[in-house]
Amino acid sequence: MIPSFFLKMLPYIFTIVVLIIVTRKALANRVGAPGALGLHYDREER
Amino acid sequence: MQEGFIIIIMATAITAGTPILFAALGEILTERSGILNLGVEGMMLVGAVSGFAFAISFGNPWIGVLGAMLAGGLMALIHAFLTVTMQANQVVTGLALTLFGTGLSGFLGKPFIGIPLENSFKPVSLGILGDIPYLGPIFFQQDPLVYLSYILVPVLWLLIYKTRAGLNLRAVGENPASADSLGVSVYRVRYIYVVMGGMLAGLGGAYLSIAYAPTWLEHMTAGRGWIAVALVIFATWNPVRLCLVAIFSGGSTLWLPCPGNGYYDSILLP
Repeated sequence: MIPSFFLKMLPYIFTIVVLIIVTRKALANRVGAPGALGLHYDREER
Repeated sequence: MQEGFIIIIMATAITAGTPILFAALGEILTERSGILNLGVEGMMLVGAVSGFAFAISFGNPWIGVLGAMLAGGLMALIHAFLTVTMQANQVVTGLALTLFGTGLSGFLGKPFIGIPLENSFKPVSLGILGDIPYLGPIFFQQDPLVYLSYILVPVLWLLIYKTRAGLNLRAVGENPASADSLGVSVYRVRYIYVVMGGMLAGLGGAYLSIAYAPTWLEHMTAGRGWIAVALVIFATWNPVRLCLVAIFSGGSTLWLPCPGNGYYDSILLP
């Protein structure tokens, strides 16, 4: 029998995996993230 | 017998998915404008405690909802100021807001721990729709906030994909420099949608404390804010896809610690 704790972990493990994907720029672009997600924008640097 | 059990499970999956759905809809708006908000968990907690406080002091759950949205919006305003105006690292500010929100909600919620909320949202059957076999009890015998989420999903989809404001929002998220050169105020758009995202996260928290539980316990979101952040990615930043994903993940959070589902054993995430 698998302890029920592993079942309780599932949503969090899923969350960790997805967060790893979104913080990797190349992977994030492949799943269709907004291009400037996580980048700050400064008018004066334009 | 078996059928009735499956219907109850599916109806509960929808109620369990609703707080995550609200928070994730807010996160979609925020991320579409190009700001990553990892403070959803904190905003949900602050929304939950202030929603509960407003609902119990004014005796009206709708005032609680307004209070929660106000509190979530204020938390998001801090995030917007730090990331848009001060240009801080969005991951760090988001995490800081989660820690801040966890502490603040615990502090503010001390006098409210364990008090049951009498005037909470109760399930309302939607007339003829509620009488449809199978679908009626699953979708149309829920509380008013669930119906609000049914309306919010298509409204936000229309906003993002079919209106001028949504086009500006997507442009700012994809390429702020180009949007700026076409006369869209990047800072203003980002402020508006980050605050709207925070308000929806607060609403998601309030759903837990005003309708789902309905009581306040320290750290009652139990990581739902993080699940919301992950679902946004899983739904590829699309409200309609999110709606489908949220129901499944709602089912998967049925065993999360919350007084609403019968037990509260431990706190799992920081």
